[in-house]
Amino acid sequence: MAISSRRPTRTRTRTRPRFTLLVLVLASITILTLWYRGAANHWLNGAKGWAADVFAPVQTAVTGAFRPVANFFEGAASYGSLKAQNAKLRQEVTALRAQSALASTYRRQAQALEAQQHLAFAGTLHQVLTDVVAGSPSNFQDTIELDKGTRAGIQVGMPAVSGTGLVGRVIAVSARTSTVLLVTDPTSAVGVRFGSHGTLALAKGQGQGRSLTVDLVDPGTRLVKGEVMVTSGGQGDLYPPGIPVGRVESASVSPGSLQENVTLKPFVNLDQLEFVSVLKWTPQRGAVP
Amino acid sequence: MTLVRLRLPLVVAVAFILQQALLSNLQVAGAQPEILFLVVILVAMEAGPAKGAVVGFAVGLLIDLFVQTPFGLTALTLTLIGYGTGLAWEAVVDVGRWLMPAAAAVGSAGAVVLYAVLDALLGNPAALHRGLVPIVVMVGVVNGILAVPGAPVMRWALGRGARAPVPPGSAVGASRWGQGAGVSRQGVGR
Repeated sequence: MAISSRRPTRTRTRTRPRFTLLVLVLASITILTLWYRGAANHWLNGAKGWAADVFAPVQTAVTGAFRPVANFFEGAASYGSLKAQNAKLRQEVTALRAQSALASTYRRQAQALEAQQHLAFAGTLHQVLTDVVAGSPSNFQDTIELDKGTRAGIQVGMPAVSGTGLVGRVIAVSARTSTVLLVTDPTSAVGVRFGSHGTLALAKGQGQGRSLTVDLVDPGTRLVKGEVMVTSGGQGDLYPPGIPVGRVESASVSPGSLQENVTLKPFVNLDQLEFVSVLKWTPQRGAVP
Repeated sequence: MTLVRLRLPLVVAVAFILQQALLSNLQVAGAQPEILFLVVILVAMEAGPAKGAVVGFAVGLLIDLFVQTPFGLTALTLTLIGYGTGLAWEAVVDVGRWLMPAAAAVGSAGAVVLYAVLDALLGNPAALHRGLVPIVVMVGVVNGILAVPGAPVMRWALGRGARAPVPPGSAVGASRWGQGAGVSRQGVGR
């Protein structure tokens, strides 16, 4: 009796998890297909925006509460290097002050040139100043979360800058928050320009904390370490022209290669962002008032 | 009974908030821990492949709501990981003390790799980049360590008290998930 009653149970328990698995995998694939085909994107983005808005206050509160803890661990881990860094920074400040004076002259010249070409110069665009409330919620995207959204006039596609350089572009926005894809994300590619001839190239992300690699640089192109690359801002480009992206870190040619191996270190320290300005400019419409 | 059923959602919610607000800012070499992967793996170990897959799917959808990667990809990954971990854990005969954290580490690292491979297969080859190595190591190591305090929390969340896990592979073990949440099965056959 006991044996005969146990047998069906066993068969059922063997087949049931497989059936569950099948249903769930099919459900996931259906959702993925809808996402790729864009069939339900309106509904999906609505749900995502709603979720982001609901979670935003919780996020801000918890991040604020834990910030001292995070700072403590960060500080404890890097106390030794902070002293040396401080001295180095002081030196750099002096050097940069001199450069800044020179740069303002160049900026005026560049602005005049861009105006002649009827291109919006990053420096003249309206900006929205935002707080960075969180880093990426996942290992699979290199993003930051900002505390302002459509209510502040932010739209998908707008570039984000911090002080001296390019940070990334807005890829998702809700009423009160927005998500910026950093230039270091492996899916990010930025059209860049460098040198006296304005040579064009493409800077691609290699993952968080890593330098960008620059594609499409012909072998034999003269590149100096420390050379600045800025956004090219051609027709249909994702960024307006003239935003500094980074400095050349290394350049070499492998034998037989059709392009130079160039790495680019972003100007902005993307790991320690606190404030970011979103430029009111979209690839479709240009400058947005 | 009803309150016991609310424990697992509570644990998921707390883990989610910790992940979003705290762990997302604690990055080493471009990698951050993924404690929600650990939640799914512990559920699968405690409650078997079916429940592992269901919780994996639900947690995956929750994550997908807050990221900009293809919607449904995390759900698919965690469904497979939840099921696979549950199945593998049932096949284990001898549970040494070190085996559970080791399996949690391997499962978590496997989840990262599986996600990247699926993403690449779906048309994003950039997903398999060099930065993936530190992520796999970080997620594996952190989840392996956190599995030790996590296991009793998960037993509590599933209403199993703090007793030792049922030896997998035994008749009782095989039918654990046959009874839904397994709450009413406590002590059966012992």
